[in-house]
Amino acid sequence: MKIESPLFEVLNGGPLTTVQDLGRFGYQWQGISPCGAMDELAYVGGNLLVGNSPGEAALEITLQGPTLRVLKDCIVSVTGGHVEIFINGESQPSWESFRVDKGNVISVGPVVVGCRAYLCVAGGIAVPSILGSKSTDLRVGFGGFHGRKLLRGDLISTTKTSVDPWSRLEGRRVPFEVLDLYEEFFSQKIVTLKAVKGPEDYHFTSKALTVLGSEIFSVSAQSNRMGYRLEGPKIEHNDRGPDIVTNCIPLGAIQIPGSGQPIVLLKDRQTSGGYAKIGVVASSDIYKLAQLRPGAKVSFQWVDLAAVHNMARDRKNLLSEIKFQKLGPARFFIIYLGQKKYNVTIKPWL
Amino acid sequence: MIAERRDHRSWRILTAGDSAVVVSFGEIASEVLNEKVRSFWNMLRNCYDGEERQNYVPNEVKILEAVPTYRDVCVYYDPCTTDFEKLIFFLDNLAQETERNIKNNEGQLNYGKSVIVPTVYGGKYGPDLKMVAAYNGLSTEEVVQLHSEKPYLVYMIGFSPGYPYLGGLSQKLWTPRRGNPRKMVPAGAVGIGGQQTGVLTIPSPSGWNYIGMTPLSFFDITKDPPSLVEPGDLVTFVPISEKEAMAMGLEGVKYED
Repeated sequence: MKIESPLFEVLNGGPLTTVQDLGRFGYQWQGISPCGAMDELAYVGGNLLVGNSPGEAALEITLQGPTLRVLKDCIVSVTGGHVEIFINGESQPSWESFRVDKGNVISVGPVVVGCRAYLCVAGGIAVPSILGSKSTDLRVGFGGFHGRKLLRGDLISTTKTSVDPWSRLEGRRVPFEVLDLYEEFFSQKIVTLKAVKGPEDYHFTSKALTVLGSEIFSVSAQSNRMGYRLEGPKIEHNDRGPDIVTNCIPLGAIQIPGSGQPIVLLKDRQTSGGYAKIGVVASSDIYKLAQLRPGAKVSFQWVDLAAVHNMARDRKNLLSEIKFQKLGPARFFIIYLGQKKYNVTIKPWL
Repeated sequence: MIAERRDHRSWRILTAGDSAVVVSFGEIASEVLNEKVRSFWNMLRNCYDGEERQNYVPNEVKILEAVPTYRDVCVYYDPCTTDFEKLIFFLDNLAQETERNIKNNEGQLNYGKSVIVPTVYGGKYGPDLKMVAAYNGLSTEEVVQLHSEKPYLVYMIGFSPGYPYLGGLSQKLWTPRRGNPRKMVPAGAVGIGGQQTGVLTIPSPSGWNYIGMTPLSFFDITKDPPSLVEPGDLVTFVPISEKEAMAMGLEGVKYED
């Protein structure tokens, strides 16, 4: 891998911006968490938009984006929650690939709907690959950009890979199928997470299983890349109790400790643990958790294994068959609605 | 939810979401059970020689990784390219072969490598040694003797990178976790928590009782694999002096209450 000269200078890193890819696999038996992008749908969509392979390293943005000075012309996309992007003060929509020139300043603002966003660049982010992955392990402090979040003064480089001509890559937009998925999800007051029972569902009363599959829980402030702690009705264990002999924790596992309050384990989770897991959230619904903030309401829906397998396959097909639309040149309008003035940009499909 | 119940066989395969199954070999953790776990896990590992899949593994069985624990092996698979029925069939056959091999070995236990862990006990390196001794009605010398006189089996690795779950701590040394965990304990700290003993591999908050420190590194990210020990290895603590430890690279120690 040849690392080119720096691409971005970080002027402001934002609260938690880290380099992530699809994650580190094959080492969970050594206690190494997989890590990787929390919202894989937005992350892969962003990479495909800029002509990258799905697993190229990108920047994961949490709650508020970074401000970057561009040191070389490049093609970029920002995907995920609703976020305002400014290039030298001019507005740029998300879910599109766009070109930025040397000297521009990209400012990614607060994530106003959702929680996380991804900034992908054609060619991918260049950091050393450790144990097969460029993802940041924040807990242990290795991988990604020196094992930490981005800070002012950091220089980000891209790998030199052959990318498609920019004429083909820039000005592309993600199809409505993907955007509609997010819009529908963002409009829900209570987000439903499909889950499969087990492996330790036999530690719970049948009432507990019913409660978890029907009641509403809210996301607590103690929620992060390791896992989301939920607050709501108590989920009761039977005589077997909450403790199990330590075993593995898959992504999306719903752990119920003695408190009876569920914890859904996510990308930076410890690889093993000693609390009973009542069920596991569908892998294709994990992106929803990635976009939830403290206070958000969720409920679980028990489904069978065949259903979640089908969901996983459908999601993969959606991404592998994705076709991007090219956008034409922008036209600018100012619209007055009563007292309010709106700046509107219209880009036609080509 | 049980994916497949095999009542006449001693193992079960449990569903763990859409991308993992747990092959469970029994209820009570023991060295004998863990032997089965590791035997199954090693056979699974041998199916994948690096990137290459052995030709007796069906095409439609895409196993991503397998993790051994005290009583089970968690098998992670790709739900998009795996035929689930074929996966279960494959794992069942492998479990059956494991059973056969264990029977043929007639209860003989196989271990991996032996690892010596040179340890400076007590003083500033083991701030809780005196307390552990007093709690158990022993002298500090007796605690060191009991802790270091036998090898411990590595049942599994988890909790943090390279962290070995060790079995077999003498009942005479069992000491409850502290009421107030420490904010930060350095890597290399050797401790006792309840019925378990272990070594912290990365600095971490901890409620265990720390009786010594080792200069040996259990986790080195520049190595592949980065963990010093593997499940099935035997770990023996050997008392050394502070001078010897510093010659081995042990630097200043810092416990934060």
